[in-house]
Amino acid sequence: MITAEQKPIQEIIQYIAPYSKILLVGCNECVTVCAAGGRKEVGLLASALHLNHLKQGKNIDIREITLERQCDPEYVEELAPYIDGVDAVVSMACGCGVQTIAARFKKTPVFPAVNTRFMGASVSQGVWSERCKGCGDCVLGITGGICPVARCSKHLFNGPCGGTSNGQCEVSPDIDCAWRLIWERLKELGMESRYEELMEAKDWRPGGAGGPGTIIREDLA
Amino acid sequence: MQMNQNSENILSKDRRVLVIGGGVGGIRAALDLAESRRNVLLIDKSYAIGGLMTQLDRTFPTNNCDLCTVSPHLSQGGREKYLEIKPMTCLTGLTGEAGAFSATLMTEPRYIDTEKCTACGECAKQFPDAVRFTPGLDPRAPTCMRYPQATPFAFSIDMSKITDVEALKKVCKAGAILPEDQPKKTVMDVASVVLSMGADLFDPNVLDNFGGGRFDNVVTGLEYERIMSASGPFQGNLVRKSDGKRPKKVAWIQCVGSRGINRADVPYCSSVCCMYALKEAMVTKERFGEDIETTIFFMDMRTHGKGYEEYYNRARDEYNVRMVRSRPHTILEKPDTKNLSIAYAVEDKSVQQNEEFDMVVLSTGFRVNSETKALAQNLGIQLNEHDFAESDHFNPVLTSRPGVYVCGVYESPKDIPETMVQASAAAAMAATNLPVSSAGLNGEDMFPPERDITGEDPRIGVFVCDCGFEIGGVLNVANVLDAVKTRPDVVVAEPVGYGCSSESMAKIEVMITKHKLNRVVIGGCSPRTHETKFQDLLRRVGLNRYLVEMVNLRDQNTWTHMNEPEKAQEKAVKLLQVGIAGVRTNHPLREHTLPMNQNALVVGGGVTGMTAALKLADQGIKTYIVERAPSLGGLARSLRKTIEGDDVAPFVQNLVDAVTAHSNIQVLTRSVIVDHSGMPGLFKTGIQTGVRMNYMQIDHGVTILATGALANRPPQYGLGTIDNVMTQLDMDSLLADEPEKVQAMDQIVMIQCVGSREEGNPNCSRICCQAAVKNALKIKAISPDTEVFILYRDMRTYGFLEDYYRKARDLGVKFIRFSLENRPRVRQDDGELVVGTHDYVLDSDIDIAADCVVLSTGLVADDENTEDLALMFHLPRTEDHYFLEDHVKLRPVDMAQRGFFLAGTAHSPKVIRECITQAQAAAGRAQTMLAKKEINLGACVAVVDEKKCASCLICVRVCPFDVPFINADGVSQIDADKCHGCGVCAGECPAKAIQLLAYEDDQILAKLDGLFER
Repeated sequence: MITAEQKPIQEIIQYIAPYSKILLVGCNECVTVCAAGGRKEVGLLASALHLNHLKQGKNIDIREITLERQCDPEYVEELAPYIDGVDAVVSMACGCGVQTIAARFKKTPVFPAVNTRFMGASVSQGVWSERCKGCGDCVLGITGGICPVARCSKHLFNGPCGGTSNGQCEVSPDIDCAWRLIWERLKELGMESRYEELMEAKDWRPGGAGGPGTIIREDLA
Repeated sequence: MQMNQNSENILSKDRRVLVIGGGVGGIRAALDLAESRRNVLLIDKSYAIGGLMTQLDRTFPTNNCDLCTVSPHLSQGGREKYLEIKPMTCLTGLTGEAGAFSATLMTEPRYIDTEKCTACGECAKQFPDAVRFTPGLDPRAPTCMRYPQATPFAFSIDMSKITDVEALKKVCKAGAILPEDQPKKTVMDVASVVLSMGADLFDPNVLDNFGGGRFDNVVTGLEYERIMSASGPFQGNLVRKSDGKRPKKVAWIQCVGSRGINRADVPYCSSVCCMYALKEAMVTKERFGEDIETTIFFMDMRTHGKGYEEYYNRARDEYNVRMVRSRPHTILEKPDTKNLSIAYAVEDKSVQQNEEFDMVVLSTGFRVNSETKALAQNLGIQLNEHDFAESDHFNPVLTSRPGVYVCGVYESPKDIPETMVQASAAAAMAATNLPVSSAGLNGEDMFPPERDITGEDPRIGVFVCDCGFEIGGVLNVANVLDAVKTRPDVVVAEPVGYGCSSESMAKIEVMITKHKLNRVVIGGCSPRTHETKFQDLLRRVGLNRYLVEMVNLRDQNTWTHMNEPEKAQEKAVKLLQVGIAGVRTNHPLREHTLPMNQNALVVGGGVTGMTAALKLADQGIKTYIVERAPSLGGLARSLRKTIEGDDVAPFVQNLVDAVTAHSNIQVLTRSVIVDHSGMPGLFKTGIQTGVRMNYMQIDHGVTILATGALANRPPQYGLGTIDNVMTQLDMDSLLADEPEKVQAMDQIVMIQCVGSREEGNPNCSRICCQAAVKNALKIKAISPDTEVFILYRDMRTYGFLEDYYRKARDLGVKFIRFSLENRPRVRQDDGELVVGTHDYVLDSDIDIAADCVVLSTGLVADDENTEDLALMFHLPRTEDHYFLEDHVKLRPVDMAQRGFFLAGTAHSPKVIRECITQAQAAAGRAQTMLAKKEINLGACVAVVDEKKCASCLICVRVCPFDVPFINADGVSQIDADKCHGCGVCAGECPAKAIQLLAYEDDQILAKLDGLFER
C-alpha cells in the first residue's frame, strides 16, 4: 500500500488562497486505508478550511468528492461535471492521483493535500512502516523475506555496515538493523548458508535510475 | 424455629402477589415479581409509595443523595405493566391458604382522582393551612405531596381540614377533586403475600431525660436528615430551630430507646443508627463546614456491614468526628442560649463530665407500630418477643403462615442493602406460588401495527411540559411555543402541563392522530427516565418508537439557569430547534433481539450456591453448579450449631441431597473455570472438571457467584504455635464432639477481631461477635461454673442478636474491652496459658489464667480465586478482594456486568441465614432476567455501506467486542445481533462507510444546524 500523511494545514491554505471554489477530492484506496485522504479526512479538511475562511471573513465553496481510485482515468472522469464550476482542485490522493487529475483537466490547477510517503505495511492500528522501495529486482528470496533495500538505511547488500550497534541501526536506535533481522530469520529457517552467497553490485536502473518506469503488458495493452 | 413452608408449590392462574408496604423493600419485591412476569399489587397506607428512604438526606456509605437513586425505582414502579399500586390501602383480612388466599382490602378516600390530577399544585397554594407532617419539622398543607417525584404523581386531601369544598373544587382546573370519595372495600384472589411494612422510628419525647420535643435544639436523626435535605423545612440549610443560626457544635447520642432496660426502652439493637450518625456527622462537615465540631456518644460502634468499618475509620481519622464511648445520662437546656449541656461519664475517669453543645441529635431506632401489630393479627402470623415478624431460622423470609413472606425492617432491624436483598428473596419465594402471567408475553403484542411513513413529508408535533414549577416556574412556555411553531414542518405546538401524566399523554395521542403527525418532539425532562414512556406512547398510536425526540428543558435548562429566566427562555427555544431539526431526520428503526439462553451457572457449591441453584431449578431452569472441592457443602461443613441453637450438619446434608437428586441440576465438583465468552443472556463458560480435568463448555444465560470466603487463621496470639489456642470454629466443634473437655475447664478467654479491623484486613468480619456469644452461651449451658472472658473492641451483636449478648452478660460472661493500641498478650507461664490485657474500668493491666484461648478470626476473601474469576468474567472487586456489586445500596446482588449476580460470603462476611437470603435474592434477580426470554439489542447498531467500504480493517481492529469482519464480498460486515452500539467503528471509519443508527451523521448535523438556526 502507498502511504501518505496530510500536509501542514498552512501549506494547503496558501495553495488555495487565491480561489473561492474548490473541488476537494479523496480516494477510496490506499489513502483511505492509511487514514490520510478517505471520505472522513476529506470531510475534516473541508471543515477546517471552512473554519479558516470564516475566521478570515472570507467565503469559500468546497465540494467534497471521494473517488474509488484517483489513479484511474475512468474514475477521475467522474469529476468532469464539476470541474468547470471550480477554481481549483485539491487532491487528497497520493502523487499518482494528483497527476492523473492534472493530466485530465488541463485548465484547472490541482494541489496536493497530502505528502506521499512510501510503500508500507500496517504494523498495528494507526502505525505504518516502509517495506518496499520498488527497486525492480526483488531479492527477498535470498534475504529471508526481509528487504535490505527498504529496511537498511544504506540499502546495503552482503551484510551490515560497521554502524550496527546491539542489533540497531546507527541512524536511530529505533530502527532495527535490517541485516541483523535477515541473519536471525535465516538462522530460524536453517538457511545460514545463504548469508555466505555474495550478491553482485545491484543494477539500479529498473528502480528509477534508468528514468521513469513503465510497464507494458502486450497481451493486455 | 424452622417453618414448614416450602413443601409444595400451589400454582394458581391469574392470581397475584400482594405486597404490603411501599418502602424501598416493598418496591424492590414488587418490581422483581413484575419483571419475572407475575401480577403484583403493591399497597401502602400512605398516599404515595417511597417509605422512609425518601425522607433521608443522603445514604451511607457513598454519601449520595437518596432521591436521585431511589426515584427512578419509584417511577419505574409506576410503569410496570404487571404492577398495580394502591396507595392509602390496608389489608383487613386474609383467608385461605398459600396459592389461594382471599384478601380483603380497604382503601381510604383520597378525595382526588389520580387519573385526572396533574399535580399542578394549585390546590396546595390555595389551601396551605399548616398541618404537622411526620417526621415532625415539615409544615405541610392539607393537600400534600411528599416529594416532587411522588408515585402516584398526585396530591391527596385531608378533607377534615377543608371547610369550603366548593372553593377547593373551583381551584382544580383538572376537575380532579372528589369530595364524595368513599372508603372502598376490595376482595381479591391472592397467591402469596409479601410483608414489607417496615417500622416506625422511636419517638424520644416519651423519655424524660433527653428533652426530646421540649428542647428546640434536640432533634432525632430523621429530623436532622430533614433539616439537611434540600426538600426539607429549611431548604437544605443546617440551622438551629431556636434561632435559625448554624450550629458550631453538634452531638449525637446513640441507642436512644434501644439496647436499654429502662421503661420505654427496647432491648434489641436497631442496626442502622451507628452508620447514620457517622454519615450525618460526615455530611455535616462536608456540606456545612469543616469547623463544625461533631461528637458521637456511643456504647459500641456497630459498623459491621460491607466496607462500613472503613467508613467509620474515615469519619474518625479524616473528618475528625470525635468519638466518645459513653451513654450520656441527661441533657439540660441553657435557658438563655438554648444550648444543651450533656452529662456523661467515660470509663477511665471517675467523675461525671458536662459539656455544652449547640445541637443534639438523638439516634433513635426502629419500633413496630400498633397498626402493623393489628395487621399481623389479621394475617395470623406469629410475632417475636419484640413484635417483629417471627421468621424461620434458616430462611428468614418465611413467616409462620405458609404463603406469607416477610422482608426488610419488619423481619428485623436492618439497613437498605440488606432490605433490598431480603426483598428480592421474599419476591423469589412468593413467586413460587403462582405461575408466570400469560398476558402480553411479548410487549409488542400490546401495540397496533406500525404505520408506514415512507414517502410522507415530516409532520412534527411539539409538546412542551411545564412540570409544575420545575419548568413553568422559570420559562414562559407559551412564548417558547410561539417561537418554535413557525419552524418548517411543525404542524402543532402545544403546552401539555405534566406531559407524563396519563391525561396529558392521552391528549398527545389524540393530537398525533388528529393532525396525522409522524414526528414528535417532547420538551420536558430527561430521556434517561422518561424516553421509554413517550416511545411507548408513539407505539400506541401506531408510530415507530424512534420517531420521538426528547428535549431536556428541565435538568439541562430550568434547573441549571433557575436565576436567569431570560437566558433560559432563549436556550429553551434553541434546544427545541435542535429537537425539531433532529426529529425531522429520524426514521423508523427495528430493534434486534436474540433468544436468551435459559440455563444458569452457579459458581460455588456451598450453602449459598446450593440454595440459589435449588431455587432456580425448582422454577424449571437448568442449573450447573461448579465447585472446585471434591464435594458440596463449603464452609458450612465445618460449622456445628447456629446461635439460635439449630444443627447445621443436617441442614447442609438435606441441601446436598436435594441438589444431587434434582433433575434440573448438574453438579460438577473438582471443577475450575478456565475460560469465558459471550454476552449477557448468551454466555459460554469453559471448565476443567473431574480428576482428569476434562474440558467442558457450559452455555448459560445468567451466572451466580457464590464462591464464598475463607476461614481466617492468622498467626496471632499463638494460634498454631501454643497448645489450647484455637478459633471459634474449633471451639464450636469441641463443644459438639467433646463437651467433657470444655466442662473440665475453669477459665476460657476469647479474643475478638483477630485478623480483622486492623491493617491488612481493615473491615469487620461481622460474624465473630455472635460466634463468641454463641459459644460462650453454650459453654455456660453445659458448664455453668466455667468462667468465660470475652476481650472485645466493640460488641457487634446487631438486631436481635443483642438478646443473646444480654443473656451472656446475665449468665456472668465477662466482657472486657481492649483497644488496638493496647492489645491482649497471650503467653505461657510455666506451661500455664495466661492472657494479659488492660482493664479500662480498673485502669490497670490484669492477667487471666486460661485453660484455653479462643480467637474470633472471622473470614477473609479468597483473593486468588476472586482475582482469577474477576479477570475471566471482567468483574470488579473491593480493595479487600470481595466481589463488588453494582450499587452498594440499591443493587446489592446485581453485578455491574449484566447477567452476573452475587451472593453469600463472596460478597462480604455474613452468617448462614443471611447467605441463604442473599442466595434466594440472587436466584430471584437471575429469574427476572431470564423471564425476558430474549435479549433486546436495541436498534442502535452500526451498519456498513458496502459501496463505500475500503476494507481497510480499521473497524475490525478498533471494535472492543470483535464484531466486524471482512466478509466473502471483501467488505466489512457488522452483524446487528452482535453489535453493542458503542459507535467506535462509526467514528473511526476513514471511508465514512459506517453509521450508528439513531446517531447518524445527518441527524447530528441537522441538530447542529437547528442549534445555529436564527
